[in-house]
Amino acid sequence: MALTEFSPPGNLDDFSAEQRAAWNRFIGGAFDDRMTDVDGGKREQFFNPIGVELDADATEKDVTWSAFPKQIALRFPAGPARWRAADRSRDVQDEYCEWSVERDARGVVKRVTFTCEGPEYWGFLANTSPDVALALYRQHVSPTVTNSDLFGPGGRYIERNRWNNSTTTGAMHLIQPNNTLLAEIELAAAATVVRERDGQVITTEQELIICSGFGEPSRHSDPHIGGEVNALARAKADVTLQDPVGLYLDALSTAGWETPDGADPHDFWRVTRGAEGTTVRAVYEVTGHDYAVGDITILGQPIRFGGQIAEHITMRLTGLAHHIGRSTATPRPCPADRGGAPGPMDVAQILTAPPAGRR
Amino acid sequence: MADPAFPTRQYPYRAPDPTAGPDPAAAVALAPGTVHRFVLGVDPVPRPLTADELDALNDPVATALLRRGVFPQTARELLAALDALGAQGLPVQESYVVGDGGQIPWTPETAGVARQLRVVVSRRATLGAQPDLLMSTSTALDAPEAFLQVLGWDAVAGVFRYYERRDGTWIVAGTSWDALREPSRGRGPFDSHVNGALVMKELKLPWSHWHSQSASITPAVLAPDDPIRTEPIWTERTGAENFEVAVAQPGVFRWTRSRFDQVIGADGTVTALPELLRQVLTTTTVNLVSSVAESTTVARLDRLELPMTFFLDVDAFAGPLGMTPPAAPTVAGPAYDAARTQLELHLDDGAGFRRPGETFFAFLVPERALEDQMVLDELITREVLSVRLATCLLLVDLANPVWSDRRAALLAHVPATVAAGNGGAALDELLGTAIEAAATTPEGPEAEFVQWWTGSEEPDFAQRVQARLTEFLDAWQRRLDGPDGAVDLLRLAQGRRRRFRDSQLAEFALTVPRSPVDDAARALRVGPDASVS
Repeated sequence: MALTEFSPPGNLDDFSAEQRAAWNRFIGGAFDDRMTDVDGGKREQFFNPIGVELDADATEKDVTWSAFPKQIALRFPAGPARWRAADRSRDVQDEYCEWSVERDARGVVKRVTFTCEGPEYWGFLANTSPDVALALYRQHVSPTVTNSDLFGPGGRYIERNRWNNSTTTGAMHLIQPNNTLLAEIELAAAATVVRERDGQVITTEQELIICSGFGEPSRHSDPHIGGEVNALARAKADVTLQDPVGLYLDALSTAGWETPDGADPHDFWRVTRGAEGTTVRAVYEVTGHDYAVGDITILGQPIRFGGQIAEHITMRLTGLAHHIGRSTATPRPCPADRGGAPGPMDVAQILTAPPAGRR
Repeated sequence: MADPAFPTRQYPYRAPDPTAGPDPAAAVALAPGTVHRFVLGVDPVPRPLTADELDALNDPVATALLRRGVFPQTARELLAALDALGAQGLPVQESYVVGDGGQIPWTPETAGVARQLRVVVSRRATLGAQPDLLMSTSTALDAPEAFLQVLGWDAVAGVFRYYERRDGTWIVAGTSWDALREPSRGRGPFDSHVNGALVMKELKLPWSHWHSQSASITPAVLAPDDPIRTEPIWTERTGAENFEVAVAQPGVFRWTRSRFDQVIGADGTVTALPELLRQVLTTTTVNLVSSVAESTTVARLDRLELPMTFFLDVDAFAGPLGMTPPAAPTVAGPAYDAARTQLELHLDDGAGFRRPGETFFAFLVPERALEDQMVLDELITREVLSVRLATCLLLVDLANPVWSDRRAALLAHVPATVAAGNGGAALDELLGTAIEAAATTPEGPEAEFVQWWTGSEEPDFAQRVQARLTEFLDAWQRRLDGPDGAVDLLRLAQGRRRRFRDSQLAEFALTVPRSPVDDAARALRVGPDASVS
């Protein structure tokens, strides 16, 4: 059966019927707006799934990548320096996963919250249902959040409010400039164009992203998402994103982790928004045992940073392809104008800037 | 019958020496349905295990299969046998694909290229557990002659146990301890599992040669009729980024920790100390690391970022030794590209395939191996070795982070045993004094050590070390920015690749690129001023 409306990410149920309809229009509009390539040509192999009866050959494609920022992993050797750098600012957490670390009075890690909820969703929710947004902040970040913390004069939602602007005061949704749902949709759409250079079809991830300019080459996520989507396009399929369109926390590996009492360390990973398979928020926190997260070790080292956990998290989005082998679109050269692609983050600048804290 | 595509993955592991006469092991008929033992160097020929010996095996290969009388002959049979056990058969499975020619698309012209595609399957009890069984095989899942190596973690003995299917039955090829000690060290599976742990040569981002989030091994490298195309092991393959954190790192760690538990007595006495310090002072094995740039993009890059560990043992210095990681040197993309051409870098599979250029990711080079790094970490954690002593030892010939004969010479001064504790004070005294006493030649490694050791308790020691690291890397950067910098860089890289090819780890022809300068470059070393000669 054809999809009739786009669901909210993670199948979240925050919306009223009216808001759901508006969200559906927003995502649909985002898809429709991205049917045209930067060079003016049509992205023939990208489609809006609303109303489309999928062919019998329809197939889903999960694309996964590491949540830990590639640029930090390259700059720092494994260990505390790397983890400290990743924990320093939400602005270095650019793999569509951001986190905040809560510590007890001893400084021991008590809870680490991971989110991949898009800023578009939250901007829309908060500006149309401020009470719902406030309630969710109080439920998931702190019961002391106030209206004036979240909304500026005139009632406009502040994305980087004091409860969502650092790695220590909470993380409700993504704020890193490159971590957006629209970026994901643009990435997928642009990657459906098969590219050629000098008569040779481009197939590798970096060559593709350099050619097409559909994202940031120095991340794990963008080149890989683009590469996998483009592989479907090269198979002459029509491609879209699976509903609910979003980015998801896919899995946590706890191999090599040890708890003081032998409990399964995976037990302390708790999905708090979304569901298994469409997790948009999760918390790592020990409950029911007389120790804290910071007493758990990973390869013998106590957990002192959220980044240590992020290294073991996999992110995912799901593509959808059909009409495999039937597209008549022909490969196109690299566009001359690749405006719109986000630039690389300045890691050095971010790491030397004062950490964002409470206002 | 051996797998002709993978002669290094099964007995006799290397090309037989035609002058050595008949192989006595080959003449022994293996009893079917009987587990044999054949630890190369120890056992002259395979022999059946006794009932008691079999009962003493507590890894899942033994407990789930062999002791139940299940002797799978193929990869598929092995996995099916585990599946049949349900929860007792380590039901959580991930598969990984690696191949040194895994980025060479299949065409009729390249059909014969030895891509060496391998499948690695991990099995674990639960989502949160470590894999207790690892299977390595070719993509011929139903071929009884395909190499089939399995290792299982024996939690009772605290070792990995290595198995190989051969001639219709199964052979125990040794345990982790056999890797460390003569006469089995470096033989059989331990020619690559050098220190007894599992091995992922290309351990770090971008995981060269592996299917990963950095580069997919796609169906384009398979023959159109290759049956692996539709196998779940292939279609559901997981990226190497997961293998690194969920399999390799915890696997190496569990053996390292178990080993230390067994060599440190209740009174804190460390036995077999030279075996441990060997992994600090010498290069027992290597991993391979590369830049994250695809080779084809390099010429267009303003600067190519190079892996720091090629220049400096930064995993040690900025890891347990607490230094701040300096910025890695870079080289101009066009200069690097020109140097590749000048030195005629190429891939050659030794069977007719030759292509100018490098491996898929540029600048794939040897670096100090994770298993050596973890021993260093554990020595410090267990207070066998102090950070101060470790720092001074690794500062000797720091310009050559791998294969340093100067640093290796210090191993001669390591005592047989030492008392752990008190921050490593006992070894500070023993080894520090021994090296000082041997520092009779001003240019020798002992003297170099003493120059750092003296004053290593001063408050400015860390600052001086940091300054030295920065000074050295600055010198490298000046060299790289000079007229011959890229050529020097690649000559040195080729020399280290040539040395790697001498090692037993170098099983496959396409692992690293080659050049006519390789043999001459093998002797190149880096001076304290970043000169290459």
